[in-house]
Amino acid sequence: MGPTLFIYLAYGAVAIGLTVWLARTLHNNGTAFLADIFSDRPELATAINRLLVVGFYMLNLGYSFLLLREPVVSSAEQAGRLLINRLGVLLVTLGLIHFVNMLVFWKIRRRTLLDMAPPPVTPQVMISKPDSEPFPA
Amino acid sequence: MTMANTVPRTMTILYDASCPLCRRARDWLAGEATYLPIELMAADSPSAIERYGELPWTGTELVVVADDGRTWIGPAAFVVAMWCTRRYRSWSFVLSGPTFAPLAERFFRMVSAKRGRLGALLKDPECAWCEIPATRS
Repeated sequence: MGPTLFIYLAYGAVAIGLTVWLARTLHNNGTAFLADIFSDRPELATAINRLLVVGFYMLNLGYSFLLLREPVVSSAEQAGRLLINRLGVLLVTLGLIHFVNMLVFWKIRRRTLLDMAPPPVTPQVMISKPDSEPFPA
Repeated sequence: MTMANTVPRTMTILYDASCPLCRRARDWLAGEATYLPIELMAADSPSAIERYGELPWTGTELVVVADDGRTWIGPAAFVVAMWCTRRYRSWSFVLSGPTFAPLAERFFRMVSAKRGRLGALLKDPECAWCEIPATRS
């Protein structure tokens, strides 16, 4: 087995394994989160979660395959170095994508909470309900 | 209070129509997108007095009245008016939080107390004689 083939196999195994693991983590933990945001429409939460995971798979796998183009190696040492380097780039990128994903979740949640939030300060007094209804039709 | 954590359906904002700064703020607020319908009323207008009677604070403090009778006066009313707007709702929570609430309260009190003098610095769109320069020709 030449060094190039070794790199392809090792890299492919790690990249696919990592992506699957991350996608499952995202899916499992996103379920609770999205169910909270879309508590009135659970089927929408499931759909959004699935779509997010599909996008995550496409982005990660596509990017990880693109990362490894035409490795020119002649020795096992070079092959090892290239493998470690590519895996490092892949991990950093996956980490960044993961944080962007969490940021999007957080923003959606914050937006939803803000939309439903009652006034932030307690009223000083209660006056009796007005006789004439505001905004007459 | 049971309704402290509910979201009002409509809000009525009672402002001092005799102050240019307040009229300016009214025009600004009228152009803002809001989460709920708001009604801007001059505090001393007949319709306001007919609906709410003579409130002891109208004309001296900003007053915000919810459709269920909850009433905010002074600095709290400023915060609740911000809470109505889509753009500044998040700010209303910042300004009523532990860090900025004392500062915001002092600021709103200052603006409210000095609104006459602050308004004099601005051009009053409804003042016909303000444009005439007070210089000898």
